[in-house]
This record gives sequence, structure tokens and C-alpha cells, in this order.
Amino acid sequence: MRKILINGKYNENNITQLIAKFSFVFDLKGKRIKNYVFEVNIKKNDFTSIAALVIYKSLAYTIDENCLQDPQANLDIIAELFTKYHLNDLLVALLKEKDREKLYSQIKPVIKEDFFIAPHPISRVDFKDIDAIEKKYYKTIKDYYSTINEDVVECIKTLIVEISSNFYSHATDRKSILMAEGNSGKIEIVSVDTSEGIIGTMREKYRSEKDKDLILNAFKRGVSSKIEKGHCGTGLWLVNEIVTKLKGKLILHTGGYIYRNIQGKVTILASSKWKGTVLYVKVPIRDDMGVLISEILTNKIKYI
Amino acid sequence: MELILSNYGNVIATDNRSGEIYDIIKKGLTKGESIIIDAKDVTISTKAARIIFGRLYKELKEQFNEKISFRNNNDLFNFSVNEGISTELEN
Repeated sequence: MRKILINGKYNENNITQLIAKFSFVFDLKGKRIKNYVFEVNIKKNDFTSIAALVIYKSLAYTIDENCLQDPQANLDIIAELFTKYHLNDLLVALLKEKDREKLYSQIKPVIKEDFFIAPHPISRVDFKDIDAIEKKYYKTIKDYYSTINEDVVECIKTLIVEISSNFYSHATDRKSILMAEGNSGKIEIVSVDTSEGIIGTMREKYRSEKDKDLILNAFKRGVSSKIEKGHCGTGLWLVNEIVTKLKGKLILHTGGYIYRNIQGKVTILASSKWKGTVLYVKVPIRDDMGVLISEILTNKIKYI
Repeated sequence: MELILSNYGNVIATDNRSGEIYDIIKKGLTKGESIIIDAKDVTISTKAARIIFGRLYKELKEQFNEKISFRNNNDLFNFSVNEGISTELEN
């Protein structure tokens, strides 16, 4: 037996270490390798939304793409851990190889005493139903942050709309999950898929660019692999600008790279391979969010 | 004709919903009506803004602002609409 031990605390700062534990599965598509066991021993208090989605999507890829044959896991402990993000039923169905379609469309946000958790599926079927994102996200966020101010709600809505639109439009993975988790001091948004990733989709249009340049270009205003298909190339640029302006964090894993924007300081480094995209955004909740964001909303020409 | 956008959702981000709104505005314009867009509580993605207002601007050109006006439109909404129109005109 080959044991993949996942313990400790994984957050946005060291998520590369967790990704490294799963990178091997992306080279095993269809190979059905035997004798693997996953043992997850993370304390519930240490379990973060980014770790939850990376583990879930890694296991989903492993099973859906027949990477391993009958992989074993400490199911009871993992299921209990995933109750924190209300993804436990989905995870159990995944590991028991049962139908996940219905469960996937039923995941929904929960407001707790001092924070809210809002997982949301990003699939073409669910996204067509406007009520899904409306009722599950907008109302939750509005209810939670309405006592602070409208600008906070607008800023969070914009981040979620642009991030989810990006994943929806570019991902071939039909089961991306977006998670928003917030309290009165900050909001974190994580989205993970196992699609082509930014390098793959940008390569469709910008063939001669180096991988690093493709990632950097994806954050430039007006750059998109799908401008001809109705996109504006504004989404990732806007999200990144908001993060910079609010002195937040944006961390992107794609292919074998990690792009980090920490309070406006950008670095891009080689990293463990993730097939697809892991995007993490954290911004502080501030009363002056609206004023700060207005400063970056400059159009070349104002038509209205 | 007044179009309360929130009747079509507080988040406008899908191609289907954008196409539906475009068709409604277009129908009003065809009847010779001026359109007032009420954007209260609405967040629109840049792509949706391009599909709706980029196409309309391309068709109406300088008549756009005579025929279509906005109210309760915040800075983020205006940004998306301007970006959507710019991109549509450039491509």
C-alpha cells in the first residue's frame, strides 16, 4: 500500500504543499493504479476552505478519471471534517462512487453566528438557473453584510460574479465549486477546477508566449482568450485590482506555477502541478471599500 | 418604457439572461420608445454588459444616449457598461 498522508494545517500561504501531495494523480489518467490509501488527519479548526476544495477536487479527479483502482480512505474522519463546509454528503457520494449530480446542485450557503459559508457549484446547468446564484449567494451576502454598508455588498458581489463567470466560461470541468467564507473583518473566495487551466486556455490564442507570460497576461486589462466570443478580458484584471487596492491577497495555482498578489506585491514562481486552476482571494472588509474601488474604475471612454 | 433590471435578477451574468434583456430593450426601441434602465441593486458582469449594451451601442451609435438612459446606476455598474461597449466597438 502507498499511503498519502494529509495532516497539519493548509491555508492560502502553504497550499502548494497540499497540492504537491496530489500532483501525481494528474499523470495517472486512466491508469487505474492499485494500492493507494489516503489518510486525512486535519483538525477541524485547522481545516480551511481552500484545503477543502483542493482535497475534494483532487479526489474527484482521481475517481472520475480512473487514476487509481479502489483507492482507500479514512472515510468517517474525512466526512466529519467536510461537515464544516457542508460538503460531507457530496464527499461520501464521491468516495462511494455514487451519483453526485443531485447533491452537487443542492449545496448551499449557511449563515452561522459570526460568519457565513457559501459553497456554490459552477456548472452550466446550475448557472443557467439565475435563482441559484441569486438566492444562494446574493441574499446570503446581502443579509450578512447589510449592516455594514451597500458598497461592501457590491464589492463582494462583483468579485463573485467576475470569478464565477471566469470559471464558468473557461472551465471544461463541469463541477467546479466556488466557496465564499466571510465574517465582519474579511471575505475569502476560493474556486477550484480541474480543467485546462489558464495556461491551456490562453495558449489557444497566444501560442508563442511562455507559460509565465501567459499567466501574467491573463491579469492584464482587455486580454482574454475569448474576446471574439463576447468576453471583455476584464474579469481577472478587475479582481486583481480590487485585491491590490484593498491590500488583500490573490493566489492562483495553475499548471506548474503559483501567482501571488500580496497587498499589491506580485510574484510568479514555479510550483507543484495543478491540472486546472485554484484561485483564492481574500480582502478585508472596510467601510471605505466603495471609495477605494471607485478609484480603479476608470474607462478609456465613458459612454454613459 | 422603464426597465427595472432587478426584475431579471440582482446578478446579471449569463448569456441567456443577457440575451433576454437585450431582446426586451430592442423590442421597445423598435416601437420607437425611449428606454429608462433602472439598475438599482443590480450587479452586471462585463461580459453581460457587452452582450446587452455593447450590441445596442453598436446599433444605435450616437443615438444610444438619446434612446437609453440609466438611473440608480452605481460606479461598478457604469464601469461594466462602459467596458462592455468599448470592447464591443473594438472587436
